[in-house]
Amino acid sequence: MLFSSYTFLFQFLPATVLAFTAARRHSLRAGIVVLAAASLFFYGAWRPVYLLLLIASIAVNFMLGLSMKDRLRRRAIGTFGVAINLAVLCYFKYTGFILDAVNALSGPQLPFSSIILPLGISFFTFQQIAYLVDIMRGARVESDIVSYTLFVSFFPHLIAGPLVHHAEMIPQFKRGCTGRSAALAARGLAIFAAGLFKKVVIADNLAQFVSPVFAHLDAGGGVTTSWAWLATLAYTLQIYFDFSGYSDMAIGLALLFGIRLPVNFRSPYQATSVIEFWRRWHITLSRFLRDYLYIPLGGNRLGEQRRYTNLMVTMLLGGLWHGAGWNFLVWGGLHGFYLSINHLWRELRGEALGSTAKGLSWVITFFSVVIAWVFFRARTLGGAWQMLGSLFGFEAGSSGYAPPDILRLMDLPVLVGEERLLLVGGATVALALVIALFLPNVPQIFGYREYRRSPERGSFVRWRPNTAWALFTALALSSSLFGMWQRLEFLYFQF
Amino acid sequence: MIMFLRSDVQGRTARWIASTLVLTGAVWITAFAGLLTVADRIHVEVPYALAVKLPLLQSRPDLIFAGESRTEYQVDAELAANLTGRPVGAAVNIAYDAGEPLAVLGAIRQQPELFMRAHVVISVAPFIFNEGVRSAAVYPLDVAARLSVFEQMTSFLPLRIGTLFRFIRETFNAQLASRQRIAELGSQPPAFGLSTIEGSQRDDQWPKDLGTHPHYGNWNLSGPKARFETAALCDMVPLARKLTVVVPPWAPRYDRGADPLWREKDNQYAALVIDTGNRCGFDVLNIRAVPGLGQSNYADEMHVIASGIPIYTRYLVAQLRP
Repeated sequence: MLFSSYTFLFQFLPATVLAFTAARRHSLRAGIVVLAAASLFFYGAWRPVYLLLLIASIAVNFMLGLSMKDRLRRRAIGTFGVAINLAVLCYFKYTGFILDAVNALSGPQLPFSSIILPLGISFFTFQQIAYLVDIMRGARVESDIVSYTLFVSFFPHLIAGPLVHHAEMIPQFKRGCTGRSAALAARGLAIFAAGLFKKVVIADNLAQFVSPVFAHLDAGGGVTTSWAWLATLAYTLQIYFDFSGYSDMAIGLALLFGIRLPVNFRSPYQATSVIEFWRRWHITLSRFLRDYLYIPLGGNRLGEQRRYTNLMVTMLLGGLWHGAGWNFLVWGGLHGFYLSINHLWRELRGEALGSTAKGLSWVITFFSVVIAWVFFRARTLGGAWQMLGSLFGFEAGSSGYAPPDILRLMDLPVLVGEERLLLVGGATVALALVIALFLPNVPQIFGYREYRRSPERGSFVRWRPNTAWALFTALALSSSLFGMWQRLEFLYFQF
Repeated sequence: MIMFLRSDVQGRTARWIASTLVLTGAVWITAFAGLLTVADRIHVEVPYALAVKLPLLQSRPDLIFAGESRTEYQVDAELAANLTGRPVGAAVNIAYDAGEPLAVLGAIRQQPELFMRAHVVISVAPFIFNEGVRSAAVYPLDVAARLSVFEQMTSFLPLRIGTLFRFIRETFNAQLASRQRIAELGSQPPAFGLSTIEGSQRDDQWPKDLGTHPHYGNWNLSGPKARFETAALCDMVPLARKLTVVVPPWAPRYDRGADPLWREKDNQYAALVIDTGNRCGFDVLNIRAVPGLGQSNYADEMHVIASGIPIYTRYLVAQLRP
């Protein structure tokens, strides 16, 4: 069930809001039970058999947590639990990749049947690993199964994040303010509308300039430099508006129930360094990788050389977290390399930058991120190299790309001709880039704070529950409703 | 005081939520009406699914099978040409899923010379005339286009909104096909237009009876569908050398004698087609069963699998009058 589907918006969500409101009038706990049940139903609607996997994962980790109350056995049980979680994740996500690699090296083909990747497994597994690790570090064990279930399965973040932390979620379920604030709900509705608009109107309309080009390159074809740049830049913006739109929708939906989720994006393409980019892009994953991988590896405490090794390892594993493939590994490796260079540069030259240097830094950062996206988007390494060649004018490939002469506006086809399609694509990308670079982000517009930490800087546009914002929200919602017939999945569902 | 202020803020934001939702509804309805108006304005009679089959007419066939899925999936035009002593390409199958007579009439009007010397054999189904069937997948697009925007919205909103979504999307697709001149310049589909269904549906997927089948649901033969589609059949008569309308059979597992509801509705539907034929001058073939076509030849309650195609085609061709 996609957030941007009619079934979700007109059946599941109203039913859940009504049931939650009625239950919440009865008691706080009843409200939490309803949300947990609705979340499990939401997951089961995709493929009921995998609901069993989710329930088993929750039950096992909850029991492991309880048994870790015994201080003597805490570390052993915790380590065992982390290993179990990683084993399950590896089985579902990496079996094919590992067997492919083994087959390529050894020759004889090992028997293998393709495994369906359960939705959101990377997210709910990591959240529970964090929970077990934190207990090993002395955090409080959760003894309420309903709160724990809701922490893991809360439907706004279940499928594609934000990656939430037990310490920021579970206390909210036990506070009386949950679901009592119309002010939060109003903000939630407006944030949801903004996210829906970003996904359906911006990201989905950019997809037409991306998918056919990369598919052609992955099949061994070649494209002209102009189409290569259009497709790469369009993807750069598509993935931002798609994923940040999803995160905004998740935040907005959670607010309808009075629950605050962490901010996941803060205008990442405004970043003037790769270090800053990772403080603005998929913030909750960066936080997880920092707290549960980079710092345990030693972080920057064991000398410069070790810091760069740790950065590379962290980013390589971060790449693999996104998917089992060499392309993701290269993408992670590139970002590890960028970060290492960036840290080295800061060591040598310091952080302060003049305005010209800042501009130059932005160009270098943006360009580096765009190049890395090529590996992230291409399905094959060959396709990625082909795209890089095309970007820099080395057109190759078995067949030239024949661009369609049809523009799809919210999936409605309009015949425009090939040349005009390139122009329209360029204008669309430029407009989306202006939005990403110059408009305030959702936390800034909506003054959204997570647990009163990380307050956003004020912006010239600020949401207020007034008529103008009601009209904006209505326009965003109604225009998105038209685009929803495309039924394009969120890009991060595959991870 | 603080409590009072808090409840005032709560009330104000609750009103904001309500007014935003109402405003969203109003904006959406207005925009939707605008989009329907655009769709009505650019609508062309020949849908995309029919346009891609019209290149088959380049061989100037004199036997054209048209209509809905029971022609698309079960009439082998090549076999029909063989059986009638025609050269290959002299018989073609331009039927498509949920095909309607109005669309065929649209194709005839676009290229009248290609139909003038042909025998057009068009199949129909109850859902084409039954106004009670309003689902998105099968509501005839050219009938929807003949309704005013107000009629469209009052007929299909809110529960049948998918029908209007399909109408808008298919209209844009049809317009695209028209501008790309797919009917004249497109490549010919394989097998002279015949498609095949590979396997039969599972045992638990067969409907128990046909009296309550969705195609006979909310039975009503007095709506715009019946009016426009029967008129289209009549309008086709002078534009083709000969017109035969076929009422294909259902799977043999269904017994008319044991299903009075089906019998009654089906008789009314067949009578509507036969009366129209008598009035306007076209033949009607009401096929209730085909000898040799058994239950095992059926993919579902309506369509045959590959093994049933020659049996059905032979029978149909044998029934056609020259």
